[in-house]
Amino acid sequence: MEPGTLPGTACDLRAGYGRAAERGEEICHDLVIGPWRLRVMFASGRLACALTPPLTRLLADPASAALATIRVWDTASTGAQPPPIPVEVEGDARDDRFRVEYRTGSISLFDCSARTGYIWFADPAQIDWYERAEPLRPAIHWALTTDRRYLAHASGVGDDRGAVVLTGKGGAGKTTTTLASIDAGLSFIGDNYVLLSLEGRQPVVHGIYGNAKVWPQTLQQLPGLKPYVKSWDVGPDEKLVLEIARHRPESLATGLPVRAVVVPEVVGGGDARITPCSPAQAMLALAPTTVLQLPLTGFGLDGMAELLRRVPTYRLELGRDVMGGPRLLSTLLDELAG
Amino acid sequence: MLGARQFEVDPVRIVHETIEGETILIDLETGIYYSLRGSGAEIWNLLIAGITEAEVVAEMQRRYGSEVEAVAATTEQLIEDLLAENLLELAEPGTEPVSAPPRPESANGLFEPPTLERYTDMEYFLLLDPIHEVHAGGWPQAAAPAAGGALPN
Repeated sequence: MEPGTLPGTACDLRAGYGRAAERGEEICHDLVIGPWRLRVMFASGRLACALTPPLTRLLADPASAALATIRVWDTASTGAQPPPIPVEVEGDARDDRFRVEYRTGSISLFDCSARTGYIWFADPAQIDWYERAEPLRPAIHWALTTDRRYLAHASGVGDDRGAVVLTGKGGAGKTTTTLASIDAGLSFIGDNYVLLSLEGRQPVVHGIYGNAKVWPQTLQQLPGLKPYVKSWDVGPDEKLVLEIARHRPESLATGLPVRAVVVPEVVGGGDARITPCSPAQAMLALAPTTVLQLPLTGFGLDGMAELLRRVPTYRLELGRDVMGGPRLLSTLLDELAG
Repeated sequence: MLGARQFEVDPVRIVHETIEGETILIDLETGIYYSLRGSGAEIWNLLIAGITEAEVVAEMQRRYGSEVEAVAATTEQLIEDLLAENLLELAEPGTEPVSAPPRPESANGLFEPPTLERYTDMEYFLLLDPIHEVHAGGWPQAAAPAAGGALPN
């Protein structure tokens, strides 16, 4: 295999994982997301410790056949030589079989034919903060996505009445509304990335990560969440990570039917207000931010359009009171669940 | 001058979807995304069916017969805008067209000039890993308004 080609990179990553795992520290977990199971194998305990905390809500002992297997290794903790690819290279590449994302100090690759992913890091201590907060994201995305289910850049809250999916670009108010909704009594499905499935009679939203990321200023509005901060020692360009699954396990939910897609918008004053919006407006909020952050699926926007045709869509104007949005979402769930 | 040009979309670079009479287009290379409104979605779906630009204009004029000149002028301008934004590419002459899509059921019979809105607020995703921003002052202050505006057509 020629180094640098997609098959060559896959071959190098596979061989590297084999060498890294020879130390005998291999750790195997299953991630259970709705009815789907992904097997994740870490070549070292240090790497597993760095990456599994946000996935704790999904962890299970390896059991029945998995949809895909993801093998994760690093050079610093195993001594296994990195794949022969310049680590400075950044970008994405794909062909009919492979998807690959190159980042400084990491490579993620998925072999669609073998249903196997490989992720390499130079050093667990140098993994970016957002990768630690939402680990394995490209591989999970590639392993789960079909034309009937997909990761979306969205949040989800709900309860036994069903779920509301909040979508929009960064800064729209998804995370703050999601976190305020927990304080208002709704359950946390996920923030930033959720899995949407169209396979059943009703669209369903599944949670992935058990945390949320916020700028410190946001907690001035939600001081009750301060005890959930993983670490206050963050850089100026880092968000705080709130460990919802760890501190509020009773507030977790997943696998809820989607009752509505809501597009929040921070208007900065007045009272919160919710009004119907067109599916096209919701599409404009959901599609670009999703496909530009989760590229290389090989699928179009049909699944998103289908979701927006099947459930009602709304625009949520977020006013001065941070709890105004959650109150309106709860009222909306009352109306739509009936 | 209208001619026999035919068009196609690069499926690796451009993803698009029409929903409720509006087409959303995303350029995966630049991070720029677009919204086609008015009759834009209807024209877009004729163009990507592979029929010639003259046939697209003729079909739109047939559908909206009372405004022949306006239909022709705005359709031609939209084609030029789509080409300028690299949302459409010229197809090999003689490409076999698929059958033209029918007029949308939602069309109200009145010709609405097409508008192509261009949004550039997500280009940074292609340069950085995602770090989302509210205004530096935090909630509830909005981030800077999205860049974007209607292209002339």
